[in-house]
Amino acid sequence: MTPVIDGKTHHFEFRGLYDGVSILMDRETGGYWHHITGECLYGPLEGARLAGQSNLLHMSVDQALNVYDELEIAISDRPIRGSRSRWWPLAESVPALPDRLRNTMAGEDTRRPTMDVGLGVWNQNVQRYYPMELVTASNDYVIDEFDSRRLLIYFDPAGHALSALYTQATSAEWREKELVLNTGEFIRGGALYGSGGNRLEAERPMQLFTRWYGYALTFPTTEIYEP
Amino acid sequence: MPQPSLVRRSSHLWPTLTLLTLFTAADSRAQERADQGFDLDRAFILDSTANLPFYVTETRSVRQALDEGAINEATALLVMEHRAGTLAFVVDQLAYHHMAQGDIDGEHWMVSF
Repeated sequence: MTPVIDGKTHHFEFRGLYDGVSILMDRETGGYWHHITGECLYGPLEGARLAGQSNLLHMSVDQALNVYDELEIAISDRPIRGSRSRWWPLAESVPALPDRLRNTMAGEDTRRPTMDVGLGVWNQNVQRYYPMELVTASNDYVIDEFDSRRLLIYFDPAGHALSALYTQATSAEWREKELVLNTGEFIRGGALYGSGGNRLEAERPMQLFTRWYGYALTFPTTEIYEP
Repeated sequence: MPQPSLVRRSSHLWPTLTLLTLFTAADSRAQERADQGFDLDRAFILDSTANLPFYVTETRSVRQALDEGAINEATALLVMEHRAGTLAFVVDQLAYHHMAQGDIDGEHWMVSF
């Protein structure tokens, strides 16, 4: 997102939870903002929405180095665990929803289990949730029609997460850890390559690898992918 | 057993739920949330020192961070693809800060997690 409102940069900080997800506060107005949609939920700017939504993609170090030629990293003064943390991968552990989170929720969309893991994909016209178990059951990838475009959703073994990109392919097959599309393109180490082995820039819709409860409350009209 | 698509914690709202079944489940969920507005009593609000914000003032290349031992191959990353530019973060750190913001060549960006 772009933290600029009417030409002025606002300074945000994490201030708590609402409907199961984080809310941010901007220091300039004291208002509370939804951390996914960028909408001001409460305060003088209620109803305003930050522009410039951008993806925040889960990646391993190797994958990031594969995908980007020159990638910079911002490191804070917080300690970094040397090994895989409890956040890695999201899908490995499925704890119960803490009361602290549940108490912020007005309701719960029971179409999927509370702690279900999947990929939420959205644009201005369509919001759709791809349950990880359905992608896994479909040989770790599905090709779907999303708002009149073909979308590939796959479990990326490099990033240990679901990921989505637009494609022209109509089918695919795994060869070891490479996902080979019938267009000749292939995905290896998280990066998209052309049939000649040249790296391509993937076009991705807005997406969030997430648990169901927060995504469903953020996008209450979301569709759920069905094979 | 049929399950309502929206389950409320408070039993006195069940009559409301019954009415909602007259509409499509998705539309009713969206409309109800819009009507509710923001409920401060339901929000879990922390004080300003609970999780310090991450205002980014310097970056380095991922390769440099690896060489310096600041991260290693097992460090899980999040990569922002913003029109201002592409930037990586450490998952563990963003899980604490929940957000980061800064600018790239004067173009401001913010991420949250």
